[in-house]
Amino acid sequence: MTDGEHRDAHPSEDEAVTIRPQDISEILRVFAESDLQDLHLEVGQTKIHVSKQSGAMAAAPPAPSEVVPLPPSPAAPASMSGSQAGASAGQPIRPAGTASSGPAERGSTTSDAPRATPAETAVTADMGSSDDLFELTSPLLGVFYLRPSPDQPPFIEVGSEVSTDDDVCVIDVMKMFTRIQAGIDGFVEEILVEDGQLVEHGQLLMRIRPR
Amino acid sequence: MISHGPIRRLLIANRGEIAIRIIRAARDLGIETVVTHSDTDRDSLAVAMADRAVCVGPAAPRASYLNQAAILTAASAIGADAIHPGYGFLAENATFATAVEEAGIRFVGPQPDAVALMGNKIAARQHARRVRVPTIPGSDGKIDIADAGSVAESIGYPVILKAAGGGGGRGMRHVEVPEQLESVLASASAEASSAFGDGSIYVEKYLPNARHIEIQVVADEHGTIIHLGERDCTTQRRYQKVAEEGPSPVLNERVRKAMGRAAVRLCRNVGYRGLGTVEFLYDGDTGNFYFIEMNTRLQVEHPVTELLTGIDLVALQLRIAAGEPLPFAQRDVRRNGHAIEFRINAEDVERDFAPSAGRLQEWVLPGGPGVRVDTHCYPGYRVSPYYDSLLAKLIIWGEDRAQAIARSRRALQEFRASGVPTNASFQKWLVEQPAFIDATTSTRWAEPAWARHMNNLQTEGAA
Repeated sequence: MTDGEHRDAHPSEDEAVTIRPQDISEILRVFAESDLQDLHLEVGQTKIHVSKQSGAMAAAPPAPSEVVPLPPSPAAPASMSGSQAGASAGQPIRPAGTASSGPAERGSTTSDAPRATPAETAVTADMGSSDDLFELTSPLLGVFYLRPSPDQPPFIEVGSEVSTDDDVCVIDVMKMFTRIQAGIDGFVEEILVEDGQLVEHGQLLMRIRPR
Repeated sequence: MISHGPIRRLLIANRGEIAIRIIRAARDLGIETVVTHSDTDRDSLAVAMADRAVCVGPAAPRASYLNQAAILTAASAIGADAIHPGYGFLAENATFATAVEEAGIRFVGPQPDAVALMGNKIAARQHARRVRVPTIPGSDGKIDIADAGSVAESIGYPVILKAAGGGGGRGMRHVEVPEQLESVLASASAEASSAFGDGSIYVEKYLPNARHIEIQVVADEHGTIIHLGERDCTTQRRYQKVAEEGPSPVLNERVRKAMGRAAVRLCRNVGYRGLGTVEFLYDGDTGNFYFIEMNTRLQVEHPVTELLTGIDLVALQLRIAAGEPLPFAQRDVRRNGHAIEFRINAEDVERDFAPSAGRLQEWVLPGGPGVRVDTHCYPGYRVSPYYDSLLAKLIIWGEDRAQAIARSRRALQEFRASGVPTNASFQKWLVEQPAFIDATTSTRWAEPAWARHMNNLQTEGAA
């Protein structure tokens, strides 16, 4: 095939920019030992926000001070669970020592600020959509059912706690029934299809908030 | 028995240019269209053009376009009252046709029995002999290693080995001398097994100077069967058609009429319904014609007949499926002028026509008087490695063959494609060849002639 010769300069939607879990661990370790107070990292559709205020979950975006853009990493084999499509440029990391012009509650970034230990660091890892939710899509076309059979209770409802291997629904293709597993530990946030509805290959079935 | 009456919602179980063709015919008839497609075809023109699209699986045909369960589930769930299978994929699958009808949905094609009969090439041959349609001297049934030698001897070398389970040139091999027979039989059987799930092979006498001439037939549900004339598909590469035309430049009226009658006779005795194509080999030396196989579906090259007769064949299929009688009789069929179709494939002529995938950059289609283009491609379209390599059909009409050829040169000159290699240079070469212009070609002419041409180019380049 001659496909390789004709690729565009820009990555297409099927060449997702991703970051590996071990890279994130490394970055968090470096952050914890640094003078930085806040870290916002965005690679592809993975967003990480870390703050050294114990208990605080700072949600405000970083101030536009001197910024160093993070170059997108080459397409990594491991991707976080959930959908990871699209390629957006990395969000800047504020270098240490820069005067902060952000809101006061963020604290200072001077070198004599107390260093947070990793245990005090609050981390939210965003695995897909901006709502922190894992998106479960159907691997096949068929009729969606929430119950194992009409006379039994549904596998799950909104709010149910699920483990990775729990059955959450069944897809019927000409009386061949395939059970679909949650794929992640968490809580069912949203069910987007109805009992008895035709679902397509790749269609979004539900969103799960990871534990 | 499936209920008659107008089709309201048609499911198209296919892709590419033929899906678009069917959508257009349905549009003209006011029928709502739903196309079942694979993941990789989400950005296709057919998906954009249909009223609704349903993704049935990932790219691999087995999981999507051949996924009967998914397609039937989609059809039932969305309330389709007919399914058009296009060509290839499930179009000649009797099991699928049966399942469609059992689901209470109309299959746009013949009854499953006729699909099964003609799909088994040995049974079709036997049927032809029963209804006095001439067949090529050959084996009565499938052959195995033990009797292959003696059967071939009685027919006389050279012989051709063919797959019983399907056509389209796959599993076909010709054998010049007895020493080759056993090994060629083994490889033909392996290819047939892989293509059709059936390694059975039968053998026929090989006619080296034959032309491939096929008759378009059409039948309604009320017993009327007629033919719409022939297409000459002699320009082939490895038993795959690359250009087709009509009328055939070599037939006289007597033979033409005899072939038409034979084709209708073949269909009459199986209670045929819908479109079909009866393929013959024509031996110019003797003036004899021989039945080789029948395709119980719409053909790739159907536009040739459409341009000659003015009949929309796909719309006709849909109307027949709705139970309508044919709106014309045999004597009403008129053909006007000459038409030639050129298949533009994603093939690299520098690498022995290797199929190629990639993204089309430049894509400029010809136009003007007498030029029709059927395509699913557009600039930036990604040609997938999962499916066949057909990109476009350029179909040219002229008042006579000379004008059709002249316009073909104009159209091929205007056509531009880059980003993926195409066989356009082959087609441009073809329309300049004296053998093509004089119609002295046979089904085995194109390959060696092109090879000599490529050789000459290399020698000139080196000089």
